[in-house]
Amino acid sequence: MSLRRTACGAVGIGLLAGCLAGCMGGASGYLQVRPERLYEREPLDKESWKLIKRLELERSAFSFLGIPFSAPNVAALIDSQVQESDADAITNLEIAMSLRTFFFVLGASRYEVGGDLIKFEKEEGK
Amino acid sequence: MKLARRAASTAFLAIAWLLPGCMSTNHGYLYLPERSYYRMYEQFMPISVHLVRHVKESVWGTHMMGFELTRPDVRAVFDKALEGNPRYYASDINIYTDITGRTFFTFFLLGLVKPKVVVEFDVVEVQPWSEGTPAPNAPTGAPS
Repeated sequence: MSLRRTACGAVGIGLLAGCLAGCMGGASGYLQVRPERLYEREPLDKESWKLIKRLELERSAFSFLGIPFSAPNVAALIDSQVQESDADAITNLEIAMSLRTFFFVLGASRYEVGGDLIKFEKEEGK
Repeated sequence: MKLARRAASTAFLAIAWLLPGCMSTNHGYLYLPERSYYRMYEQFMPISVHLVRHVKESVWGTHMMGFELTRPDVRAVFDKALEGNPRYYASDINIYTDITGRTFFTFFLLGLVKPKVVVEFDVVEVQPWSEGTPAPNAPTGAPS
């Protein structure tokens, strides 16, 4: 009886350790996106702009057995969106990234981009 | 038949329990505000800068079984800190996402992950330099 209880305990601890090891399974991602048409206001800058529209887009990428077979170029994507919208720049850029791995076999990353597409207003007389 | 049904339900439970446990997740958030301040501005602009306050706040999101339920509102932290004065800028921005202690819940609560985003930055007031105010920093490394 005691032996059986010990065996059950050992199996239970083994299962728990296995599951927790699964929980600890790592994924890492680095986030550095600065598109060419990003606007940051400089001090003493008198330039004014109007909001064209709010940019919201999503892109996904996948990897199999640790080998990525698609990866979006988020900075280039934002630049092309700015051009397509006939805007001058993007500001207040926010990006949310999530990266999931399933059983260390399939990886799926997702990028959600938000920002304000703006057009600069020309001063009168210029 | 009864045994097969019991085996199937046990297998389903085991998969439902183990799957979120084996599913690891990582999240990251980036925000680049319009009014970001860099020290290099002082090298080529007649400005004076002083620290208004240091901001450090944590905002939370919620993910379950890989689906995003709520997203941490990082932008709101900046908007709140910079509102009211167009001369306020955000400086030394540090945004850090932490899910380390929260992946544990994936084991119990169907993949519930609560990413915690720590947003830390300085709010500085940038003013045109004029007589009677502290002088802007002298350029460093410039040829004499």
